[in-house]
Amino acid sequence: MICYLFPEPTFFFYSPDVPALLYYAQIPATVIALFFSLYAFWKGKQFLLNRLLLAISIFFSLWTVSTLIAWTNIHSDFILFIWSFFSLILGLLSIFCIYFIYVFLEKKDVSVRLKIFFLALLAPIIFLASTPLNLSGFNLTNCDAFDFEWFPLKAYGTLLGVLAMVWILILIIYRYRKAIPDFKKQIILMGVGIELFLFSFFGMEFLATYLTKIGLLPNSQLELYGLFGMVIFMIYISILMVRFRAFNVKLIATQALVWGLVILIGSQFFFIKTPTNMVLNGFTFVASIVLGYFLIRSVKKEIKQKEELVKLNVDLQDLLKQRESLVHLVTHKVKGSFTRSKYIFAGMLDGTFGEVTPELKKFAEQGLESDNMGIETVDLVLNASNMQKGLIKYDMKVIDFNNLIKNSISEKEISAEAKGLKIETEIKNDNICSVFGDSIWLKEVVNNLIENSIKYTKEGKIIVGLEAESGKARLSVKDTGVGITEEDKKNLFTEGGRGKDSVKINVDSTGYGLYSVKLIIEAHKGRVWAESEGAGKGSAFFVELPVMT
Amino acid sequence: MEIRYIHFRENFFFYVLALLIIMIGIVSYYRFMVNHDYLVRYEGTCDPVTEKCFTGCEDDDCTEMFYYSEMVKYAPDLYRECGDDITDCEAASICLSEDRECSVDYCDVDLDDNICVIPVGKTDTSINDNIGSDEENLLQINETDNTI
Repeated sequence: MICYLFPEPTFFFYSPDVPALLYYAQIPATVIALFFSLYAFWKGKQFLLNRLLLAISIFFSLWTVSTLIAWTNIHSDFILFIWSFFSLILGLLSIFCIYFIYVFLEKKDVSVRLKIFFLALLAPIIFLASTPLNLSGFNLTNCDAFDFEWFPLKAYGTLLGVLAMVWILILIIYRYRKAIPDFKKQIILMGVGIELFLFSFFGMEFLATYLTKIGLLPNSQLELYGLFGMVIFMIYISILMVRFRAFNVKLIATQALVWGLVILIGSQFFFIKTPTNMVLNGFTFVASIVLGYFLIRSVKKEIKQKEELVKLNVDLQDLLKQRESLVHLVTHKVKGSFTRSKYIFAGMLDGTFGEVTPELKKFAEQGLESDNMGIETVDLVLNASNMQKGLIKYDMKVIDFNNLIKNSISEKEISAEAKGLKIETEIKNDNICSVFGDSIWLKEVVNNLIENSIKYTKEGKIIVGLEAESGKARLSVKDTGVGITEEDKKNLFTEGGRGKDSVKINVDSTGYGLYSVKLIIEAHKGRVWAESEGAGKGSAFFVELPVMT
Repeated sequence: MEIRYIHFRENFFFYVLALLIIMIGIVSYYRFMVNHDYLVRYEGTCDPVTEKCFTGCEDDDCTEMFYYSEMVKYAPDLYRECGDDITDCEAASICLSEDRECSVDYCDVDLDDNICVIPVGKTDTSINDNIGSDEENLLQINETDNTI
């Protein structure tokens, strides 16, 4: 039978008599749902979760297409044939949403018992779908079948929706309490998304049908607003894909946004009336596809580069670990060898091995000195490595920095004088200057700086100063030595960093001395830096530490 | 050669469901598309002079009215009598003896008072003696306005 009061639709779906909202609500929601679920399915066919998402989207699409047919078609046979599936689709959507949430939360398929229970819940709808209890007739005047639906069955379909909402809510709350923080965020996103979808979809559908049936509304247009719930659900799904790689899908935010935008612009074609607007929308549509394509390509390229960098960084970290363990192994072995030979030389000198000739004694003295230097170097490298890893435990106490410097100067005066250098002090305030730190390691710093100056100064003097102002104690070690070029300044406090010509002056330079100074001072919440006017113009090293008041 | 086993136990839910949906599709198709096994409700013709008719408006401003009865017929009978279009089909507005299921509902003043048009002769009290033409021979009962 033909609904004689309504025009035949063109292109099967298009009828000027239906509200534009029908197309605007149905088509974007359907395309967006199918786009994301097909994308997820395509990227991971083997995952049950992705399959269930696709199933939900297909049922939803069947619903939208069916309602579109029911709204626009005028052949009662065909409309009734389609209408007979409405309750079934509603039931399937509810059950599959529950199934989907189970798999999402538990990361595994549900039990056979639960599947049988799902089938039992669907049974009334399945067995009554084709019978007059579901649909008994058709109203040709209104071109619908609302008057001939059996209310208990219709209500059962909606009840399944309500059951799904409550069931999912309970599952989510129960699982949320046991989940790890990262998964908690995913549960919230998924829970809010699916509950909003079910609420808007079933709520609006029931309300629209009920109000139309009792004559409060002229038609069931209200249910169309419920379809936007699917768009919201898909937004949440895409957030899960982008942020958490849910569904085992690598979807980038730009991709989701661009294609979402293209779908929305494309859907405008269905309710634009004027040719000018149609052309303008056409341009926007094509431009958004082209620009979107290039944007996605460029973002993908950038992401790929970032991922490569992350991978390189991981490789680098592995290499550093390997190098560290190698350094430890070598230095310990070397230190062990040095120590053994040191005791041999010391034994030769103190007569443990009997009387030695003066000539042999001279060689033993040289050997002992060389061993001491070797041990010192190995200690320097080992200490720097331990400091880097935070393995050094500082014994922090209030110490007299003034006194510590003076002790250090007196210890180094002999070696300075041996080189013909003079150490002057410029300690302005002779009062006690207290700092909070480890006296052993801070003395190491002062010694290192003074030794450095002695090594790199051929003639002239070294001036060690200390002043306290603005809550800081500033130690300075100035010399009239080789100076530092701008290029060398960059490597000065780096691991193994040495001046370009430093080896010419100091053959034993390891490049770890100043690096250790920097690490120690930083551990004491201070800072260290060097100043020089250039090569041959002397250098000045400064250490600044907070003063204890 | 790789042998693939179908795990029925794992996928029985989907297989059973798919089978049932296909069955529903076949039965529904046969019922509605082939047998036309359903009732059809539509607006039948109604003579306001002799019958209690429902009234409807032709346009939004209700400048022109039309009168109808509510017909319910079994779709296969209607197909046999009128084809798939009941417009201009006289048989659609009456119940024939061979119709398996057929009913004509006229307007009930108690239920549908504000859209009923009742012929003068069928009312208990004569309200207007000046009515002459067929159109004027009608008594329209309206809840808000009880004038003719």
